[in-house]
Amino acid sequence: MTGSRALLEVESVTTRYTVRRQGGDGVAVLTAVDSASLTIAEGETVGLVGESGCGKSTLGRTIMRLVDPAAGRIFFRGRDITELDHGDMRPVRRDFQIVFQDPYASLNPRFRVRAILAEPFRIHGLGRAEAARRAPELLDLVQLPLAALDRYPHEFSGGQRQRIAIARALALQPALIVLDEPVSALDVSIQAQILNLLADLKDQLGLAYLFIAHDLSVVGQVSDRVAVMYLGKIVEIGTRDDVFTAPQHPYTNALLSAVPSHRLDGGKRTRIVLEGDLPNPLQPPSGCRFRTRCWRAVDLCADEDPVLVQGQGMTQRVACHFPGPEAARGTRRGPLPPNAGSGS
Amino acid sequence: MTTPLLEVDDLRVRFESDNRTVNAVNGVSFTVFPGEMVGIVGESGSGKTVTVLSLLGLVPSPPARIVSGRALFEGRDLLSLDADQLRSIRGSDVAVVFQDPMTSLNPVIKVGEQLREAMWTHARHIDDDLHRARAIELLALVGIPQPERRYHQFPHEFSGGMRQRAMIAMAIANRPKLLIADEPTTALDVTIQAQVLDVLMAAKAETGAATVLITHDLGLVAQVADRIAVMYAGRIVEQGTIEDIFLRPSHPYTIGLLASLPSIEGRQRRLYSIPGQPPRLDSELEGCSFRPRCAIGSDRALCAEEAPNLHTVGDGHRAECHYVAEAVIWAGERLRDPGAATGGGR
Repeated sequence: MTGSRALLEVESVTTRYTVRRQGGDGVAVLTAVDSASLTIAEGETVGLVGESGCGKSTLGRTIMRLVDPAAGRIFFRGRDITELDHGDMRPVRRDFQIVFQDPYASLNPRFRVRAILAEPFRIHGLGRAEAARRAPELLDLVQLPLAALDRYPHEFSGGQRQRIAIARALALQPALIVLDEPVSALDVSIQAQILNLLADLKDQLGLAYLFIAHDLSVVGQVSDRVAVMYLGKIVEIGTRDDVFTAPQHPYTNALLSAVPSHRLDGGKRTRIVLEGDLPNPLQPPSGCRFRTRCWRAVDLCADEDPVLVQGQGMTQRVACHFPGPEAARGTRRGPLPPNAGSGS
Repeated sequence: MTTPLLEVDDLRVRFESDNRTVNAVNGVSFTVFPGEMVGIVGESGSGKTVTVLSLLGLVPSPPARIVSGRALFEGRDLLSLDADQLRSIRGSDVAVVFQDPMTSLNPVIKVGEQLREAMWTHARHIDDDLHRARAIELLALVGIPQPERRYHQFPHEFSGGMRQRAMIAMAIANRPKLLIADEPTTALDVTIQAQVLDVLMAAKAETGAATVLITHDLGLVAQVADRIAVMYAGRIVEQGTIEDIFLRPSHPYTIGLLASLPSIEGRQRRLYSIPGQPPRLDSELEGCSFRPRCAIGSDRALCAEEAPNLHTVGDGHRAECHYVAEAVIWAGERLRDPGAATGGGR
């Protein structure tokens, strides 16, 4: 989108897990990510959004090669890294890092911050001197005081711990950071601090992010482009503004309409309340996976799985037989609360 | 004005252990009128849950201790009732829906049985058929498809959203006058949240119960609440109608919270962020508890020395701030014309 070359290219990646069947007899294969493709350019933020179980974290982990894909290719700076073994991956890993949702679980409680920040240098054999030299700089980048070096994770608040996790991810000067729900465990007032920090670091260091989150308003705040996942598939992908202002896939429409607005005039948005639950991912519906909850579905949708294509008159790509923004039609699904969007 | 259903006055709750005391709730007063929905909003540790659950004897004591206060529910002071009296009120006149339906349902008892049990506990007559029919009716009311079949299923056979529906059904089984919902949709996905919110509104409409919605999510209360109380560091710092809070916020904390929320309608180049961290509540706070993070009072002597009183901003709209007038001006600058926020490029 920005015209710069692709840093990461993901081509038709499929990731499967083997799970035990309920009741304990035999195993079943769960396709967590089904033939997903996306690219991330240098310095670009791609938001990956979807509900729990949609495969967004698995896709992030597959890209990091923390799980092996069953099919598809992953290219980093043009190099195919899909089948690199652990040893060959190590130098590549310097260039991309991951930050997890829970800073309580991802920091070793028995290490001081100094040791936590030294860990990446140790793993990559870069020596203690380098680690010691860089530590103050890393703390400065995430706006923590130098005194933090001699403290333990439990002495910090959730937001500060997430800063430490980000500092560790920055240690080896990566080009790409996968951020897996980085602010969803944080309170609103702290969440804004971290989102601003991430934006600053991106500007300052030219980082690219894969930003995985379930919260659309957060994804919309940070992303240049957005991909929406449902039950293992990317159903819509495009620039942030195209996806947010002219969503094409019914699921994207429903997700956006369900975001609680803190502006009272946001109540003017048509609220689409989806019926039913997410289908069992072990037995996804035939054809389009969204059809069981979709108000546009017809027989065709059960027979034919729509492919992700750029339709006429749109700039994003969408996997739907009947794409289009919903607001124009003014359809409302399900019962509406008596005073929905009330205001004076 | 009608008589309040619940009138809480100067509630103070402390958590005491051997080596420290945490002042979780520091003088909270609010009222709930029949049939209305009051949202209590705050971040973790603000005291929102402790405030409400301590009224019902649902906060383990020790370590919790109610230090002072009064909570009149239909004229009876809840804080003076013993455990048995509180138990008879919970589940009949007052019902609670918790955040996590997985832990509030008994995993080895069928959902229908649990619903019937909820009715038995408070019914004088046991009429199996009647209760069964009513249970199925309730399951249908909260939008559970095939209620006759679902009646015989165990909680693990329900999805998260369905479990929360079942919890709501249980809560309204005895037609409570007050329904307390503690983060009822926090554990759920966005599309399921919308469904459960609708069910909660339907339950309220069906029973006419007043509802207290405890949540950290400002967007959620904006959709459903009539009035809102914003909590910070164990106090209600601002309260008013949803229009008061969202269109005329008057406490710097409320304003800061609203300004720090990303919005899907328009993207700001940078979010406002409230600096620093909430205060620790294990020592006495001097002056205003929000002062260290405040955009208006952080370096003012009055704010450092004296805890602010409630200032009336409008009818029923009150904010606890020494400089309400300045806060309102700041809100105008900070939140004015949200549409002007840039729609794109950074």
